[in-house]
Amino acid sequence: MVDVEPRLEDVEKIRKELEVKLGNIARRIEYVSGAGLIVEVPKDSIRDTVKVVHDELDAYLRVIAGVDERPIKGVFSSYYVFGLDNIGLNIIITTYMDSENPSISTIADIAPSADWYELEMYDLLGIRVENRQLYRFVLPEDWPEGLYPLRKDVAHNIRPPPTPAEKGVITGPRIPVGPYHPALHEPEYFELYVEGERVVDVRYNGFHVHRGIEKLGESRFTYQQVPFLAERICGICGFVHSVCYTQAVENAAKIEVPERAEFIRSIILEVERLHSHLLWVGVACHLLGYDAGFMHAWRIREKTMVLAELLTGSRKTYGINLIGGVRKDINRDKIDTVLKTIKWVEDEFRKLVEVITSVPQVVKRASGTGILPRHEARRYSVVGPVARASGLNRDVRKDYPYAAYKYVSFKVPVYTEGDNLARLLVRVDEIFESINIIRQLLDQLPSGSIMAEDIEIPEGKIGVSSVEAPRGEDIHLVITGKGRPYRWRVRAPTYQNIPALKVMLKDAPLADAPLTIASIDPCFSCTDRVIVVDVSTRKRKIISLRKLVKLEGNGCMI
Amino acid sequence: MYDMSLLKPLKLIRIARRAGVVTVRYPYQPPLITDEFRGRIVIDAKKCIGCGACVNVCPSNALTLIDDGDKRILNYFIGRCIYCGRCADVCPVNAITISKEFELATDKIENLNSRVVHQKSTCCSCGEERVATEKMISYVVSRVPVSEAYAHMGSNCRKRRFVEGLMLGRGMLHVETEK
Amino acid sequence: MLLQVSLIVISFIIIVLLAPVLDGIERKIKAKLHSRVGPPTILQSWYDILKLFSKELVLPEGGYLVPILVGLLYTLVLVTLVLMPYGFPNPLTLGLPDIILLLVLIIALQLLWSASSLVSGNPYATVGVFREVGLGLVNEFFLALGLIAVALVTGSLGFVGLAHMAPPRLAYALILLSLAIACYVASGRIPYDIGEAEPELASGVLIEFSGPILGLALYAHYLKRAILYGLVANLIVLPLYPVLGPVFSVIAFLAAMIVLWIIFAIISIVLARSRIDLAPRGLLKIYLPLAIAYSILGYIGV
Repeated sequence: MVDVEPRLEDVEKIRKELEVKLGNIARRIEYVSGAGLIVEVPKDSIRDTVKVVHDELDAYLRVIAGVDERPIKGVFSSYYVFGLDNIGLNIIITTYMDSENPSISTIADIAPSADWYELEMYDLLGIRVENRQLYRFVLPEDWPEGLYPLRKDVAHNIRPPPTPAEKGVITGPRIPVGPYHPALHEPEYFELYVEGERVVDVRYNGFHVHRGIEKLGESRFTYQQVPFLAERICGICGFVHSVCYTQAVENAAKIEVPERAEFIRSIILEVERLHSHLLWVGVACHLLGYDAGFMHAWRIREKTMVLAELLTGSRKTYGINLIGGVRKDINRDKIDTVLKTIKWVEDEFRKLVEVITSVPQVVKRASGTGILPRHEARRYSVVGPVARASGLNRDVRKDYPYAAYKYVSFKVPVYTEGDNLARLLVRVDEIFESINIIRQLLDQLPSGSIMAEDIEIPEGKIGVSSVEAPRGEDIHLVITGKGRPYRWRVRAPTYQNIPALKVMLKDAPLADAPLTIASIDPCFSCTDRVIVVDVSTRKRKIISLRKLVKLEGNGCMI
Repeated sequence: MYDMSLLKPLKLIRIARRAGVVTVRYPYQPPLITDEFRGRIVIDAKKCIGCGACVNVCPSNALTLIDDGDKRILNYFIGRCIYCGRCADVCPVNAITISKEFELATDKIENLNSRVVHQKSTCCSCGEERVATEKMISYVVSRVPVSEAYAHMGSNCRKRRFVEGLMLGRGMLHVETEK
Repeated sequence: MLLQVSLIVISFIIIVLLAPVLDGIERKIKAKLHSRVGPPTILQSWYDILKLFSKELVLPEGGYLVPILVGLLYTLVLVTLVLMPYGFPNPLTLGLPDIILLLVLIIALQLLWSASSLVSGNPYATVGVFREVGLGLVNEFFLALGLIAVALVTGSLGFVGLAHMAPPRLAYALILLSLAIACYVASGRIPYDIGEAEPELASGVLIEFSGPILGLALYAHYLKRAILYGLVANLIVLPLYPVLGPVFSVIAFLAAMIVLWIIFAIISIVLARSRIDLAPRGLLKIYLPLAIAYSILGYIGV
């Protein structure tokens, strides 16, 4: 077991509470270690159940996974994972749907963050979600109707011919930010509807880099090969996905990972956090026009990349994680190098932050912009630095401890302003905390083996694990199959954070848009491995170019 | 916390001076890689026995086994290699080593393929083609108390021999001796 | 007269050849402050312009109007270079009030720059021009005010007045400061290069330019910088002309222009980009006190 189990008394208390509230509708309320408290309800009671769990128990919605379980059980199933942060317990609501015409009622009005998950269930699995608007989310517009890739009867390597989509005529001026734009480092497409210099609406149309990773993991890869695939989900936080997957499988199969391996995983995770946050600080400076900050932040970051290469063999795709442990050890002189490097990073970064925050334009532009108020942050269940900058004290390392984090003590920086500057400061503080954590971990590194012996993975078990990525909470759900996962659900942090952009960008000046979008530290490769759902479901007000520049003539669209 | 005095941004100059120039005029200067760096793999053809363990474990199918007549070919295609080094981990004879080469671009795709060709073993009695290679058989024989002749037998011949031995033991078969 | 004209011709050629080199020097300094190598030589900006000229001509939405306007911009830049003072009053202006002439030419250059982007018909360019014009309204006003203040203080609408009068010192220093800032902003430098904000607007005003059009536009941009910084250099050197004589004035002028360019470059490296709503306010907070101060001081004759 890699994840720390919640205390049994807490689990019992919640179980009893749920039995009282749901006793007559729940078929089964059972605690499965490594996953959570499974609450099985008939699909017609899903709304009442979610109301109880989300509103009355005040749980956060973490992930929803639809699964095609027709080969095993003859039904479609859906797993709604809610989390109680204060005791570290998952509540997994399970329902089954008819295999011919699977459908289920929406819960997006109760828990707004469920919006994207429901669209994804429809797009990839063909589960109709009722009482809400359904549209193409992940799959491209010219994908044939009725072909649902994640169903088990659809092969992973088909290439359907494109069906011509309805081409709507786009008129009116919009400032497109994407799919290719210097502000963005991955292709995504934000349409900002502007009125003069103010943004009145945002439309996100993404999933340009959807690669079908979940389907691949379920069809072409074996258990031990998937960590290498998982690492490539993201170009910056790959190790997070690799650890999360292996932990989910280890939870499902009850595999004991040696302590030394857990420590090594934690150390590498923190090194990754260092490089990711330093990268982000550089990018934020660049967007503000302060290239010097960008260059120097990356100069400091370069040392952490070299450190990662020294510890794992590669700068980014570390490739050291396997189910049951790690492949590479950290010996005595490597430890000395690590300590020296992080000391250097700490000193240099402190000096750099002093200079960056002394540039008047940086502070003036970052403070008071892109504000996300606390209640909105709660409604959208945002994660990571975005949540912590809006006053929500959420950190997976503290709430659902995993790997070696139970042995270290560290602060979780929380700011309440919710603007871009707060998000920057949260990340700056986290860099210093990471350095602190690495020192503690290296100090306490136990001896022993780094890989578990005799790994056996039984079929049909469910495991849920989450890891605090630099961008927030990353959660994986695995249902084991024969030789490879039966269902692997990845939910990356940015997926949860993008819907909150609607709130942050509304009524904000256009000049702040790239900085605000960048301040959630978007990682679209992570997000896009799933279906993308469109953000804006409200009406759009298109302002004519005439009003925009008071000139005659048509603005053209790129 | 934020000192708005106009001169503070100039501290940048001090930081830059202390740091010096950190970039390197690659490719005119050597790249900055560490000792642990994983580049392409090198397969020692003399050691390789063609067992296919590396093929099983390769996540990206860069290593493949191809049957060509009576030869079995281990093909390493750099275009798919992800430089994870799992093949080196599992090779039973340590034939695979990880080098530090990463400057592998070429304009001829044949340059990205390297092959080790093995002779497939055939059954000494009936000539049935076996799954194993000759070198695999030698490897097994050197480690396990099995005679070379037995190791060379095809599965059909082994079954026949087993049944014959059973029948002989039960007196149901008479072996004709050589004249 | 002949000496002055030949000095002007030589300096003109020097500036036309030197402007991209100065930009190259600036890039090298920027690289040093970023701890990196940067371009291989200081001639890199020249190589870039020449490379751009070697590419094919691609017309944006605005059609032929775009290269025509850019060409016009370039021509006007050259004309301004011919007519501006070089540390001594330029005889080629033929007695016209050349402070006003220079002011008109500078404003015309800014307008042409905006116009050539506007006709390219791209929403990014439009927003960029929108921003530049918005900022320019504040900046050009105070640029004009500063130059008029110079004229009032020297009692003449021509630069020749500067060369012959002893202007009130403190007021003149403040006017000089105000004009230095105005020229800094007008040359499109961080924190006020809002029109060309690359991360925000995908290069804003320059987005539809490519190939030879971009080459010419960039070249004109560098030369415009030379004109603007040259203006500030002139305001420093011209009062010393009677003492220095034409040759040393020209040398001092060129040296002052180069030094100013480098100082401005360093300032733009250590600051970040401002925002279109913050910028005019920030500028007003600088200009208004200065304007009030030098008006009062000039009036009382300090």
